[in-house]
Amino acid sequence: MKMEEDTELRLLFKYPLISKTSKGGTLIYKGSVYVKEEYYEITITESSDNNFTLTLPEELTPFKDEIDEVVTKLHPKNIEIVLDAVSSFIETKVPSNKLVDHSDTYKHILYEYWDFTRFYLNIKSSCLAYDLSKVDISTLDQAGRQHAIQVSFNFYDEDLFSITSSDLPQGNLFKKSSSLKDIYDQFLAAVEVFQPFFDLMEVFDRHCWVLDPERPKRSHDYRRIWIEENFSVIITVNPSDVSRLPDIKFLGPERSVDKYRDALNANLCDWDPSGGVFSGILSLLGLECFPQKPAASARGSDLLLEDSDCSICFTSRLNNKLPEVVCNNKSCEKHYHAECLYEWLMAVNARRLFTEVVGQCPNCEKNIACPIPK
Amino acid sequence: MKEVVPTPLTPMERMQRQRLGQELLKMNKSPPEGICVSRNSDRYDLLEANITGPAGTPYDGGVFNLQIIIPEKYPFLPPSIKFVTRVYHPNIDDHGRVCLDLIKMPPAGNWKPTLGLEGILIAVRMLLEFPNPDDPLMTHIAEEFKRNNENYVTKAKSYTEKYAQQ
Repeated sequence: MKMEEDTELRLLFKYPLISKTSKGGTLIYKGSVYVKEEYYEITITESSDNNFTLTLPEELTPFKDEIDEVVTKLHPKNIEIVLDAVSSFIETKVPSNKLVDHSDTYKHILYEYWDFTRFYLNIKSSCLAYDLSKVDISTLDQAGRQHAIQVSFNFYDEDLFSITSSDLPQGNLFKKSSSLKDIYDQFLAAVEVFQPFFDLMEVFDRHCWVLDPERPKRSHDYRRIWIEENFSVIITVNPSDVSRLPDIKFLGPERSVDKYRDALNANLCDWDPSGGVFSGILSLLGLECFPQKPAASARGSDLLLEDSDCSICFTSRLNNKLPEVVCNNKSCEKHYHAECLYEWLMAVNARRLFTEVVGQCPNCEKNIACPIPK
Repeated sequence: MKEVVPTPLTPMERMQRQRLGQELLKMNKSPPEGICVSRNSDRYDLLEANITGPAGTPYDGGVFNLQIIIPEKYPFLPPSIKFVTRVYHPNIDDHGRVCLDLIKMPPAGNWKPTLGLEGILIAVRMLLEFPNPDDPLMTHIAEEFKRNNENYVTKAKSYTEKYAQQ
């Protein structure tokens, strides 16, 4: 009896928030345990043959199976062992919701940033985010081109700094580092390595009619270049070694592709980038120069159709008539010639009603009525 | 010998040709990414298109040739599109036929005269990027795409390397 009282007392000391009630042959322990500055509400029932059943709070449900296993393995004789096991499990395995103190890391970031901005002379701009989550840094290369990177901080990693975005090709080659200076050095080295690449791409952009990418970025390693009507070439270069034979693909009708591919195959063995990669590529293709983009006025509008054009025939005048049917749907309001719309509605078996055909607008699929043309 | 006099075009026929010409002109001036269309021969209704395999797909690095036939009733009937280059894809069969609802007439399909060749070709290129295994033309490829994607990628890549090179 004395022993039992001791246990009860110790229980009260160790787990003062657990209360004990009994119901029939079973004992019910209910209350909370306090681990790592947090309370966990639990209920444990003990049957007469020393079987313990645990009811856990929501935040512990993901660990329920593990906890049950730990407890059954112990073959506990009394409630204290069970509670000890649960508390130590929570302490070691369950991550705390409490905020981790990052002040040391922030101090480190601030120091690194201060040191970094005083150390280099070639920083074009640098900006540390107000919430100390990232730094944006840019520099100018020897040709006056601006290059930028964004550095983020990995709070749970010894290598605190990593480059998360850059305008360099193959931007994923950077290593994480504990020093911001080291990161910047990597960036400068990469900018240096890619100088011939940037030079070449600039020549393309200046001397060719580039169809794609529409707005080339420094990271784009290809250009789709207009050669002649309906015929273009995609040139992909190796950013780290532009003197390597570039990948050349032709887009266009077969006869043109054949013509240029034959020329390319004949010239391949003479690939010589020593006199400039750009002129090397030109002689690969058997060209004197790439055609220039025509002046804007000669090209006319880029739009396929104006708002007031018929959306089926893509013109404004058909038989000298302007489009006379307009879709009633406010967000559509497409224009159609009665002839064009009628032709379409009849093709999809629309209903004829007296002098009209009723069907769906080919653009927005709302109902539209079209007078039957004479 | 009788002289062949071409019958004059009706206003509707003239409009149909004009629209196609306009579409081709626009696509030549500012082509969509990875797509090129050109008239193949003297035939008004036969077009040729090249599509580059989208980056990050097993078709990357390939150039695929397509044949487009413009029906007499275009744009009231959809163009027919066929891959000339062999492709390993759940929605493209051995004969190059493409399963795409945009190039079928309603009610089974979704063709509309307000769509153009450009939209259709962009959709075809998208199909290379995002196959639709739930509406397959090649059931075994669709199964493979769903259950054994690695195998599918390897095979599609080997087809691209074998057939889609210039």
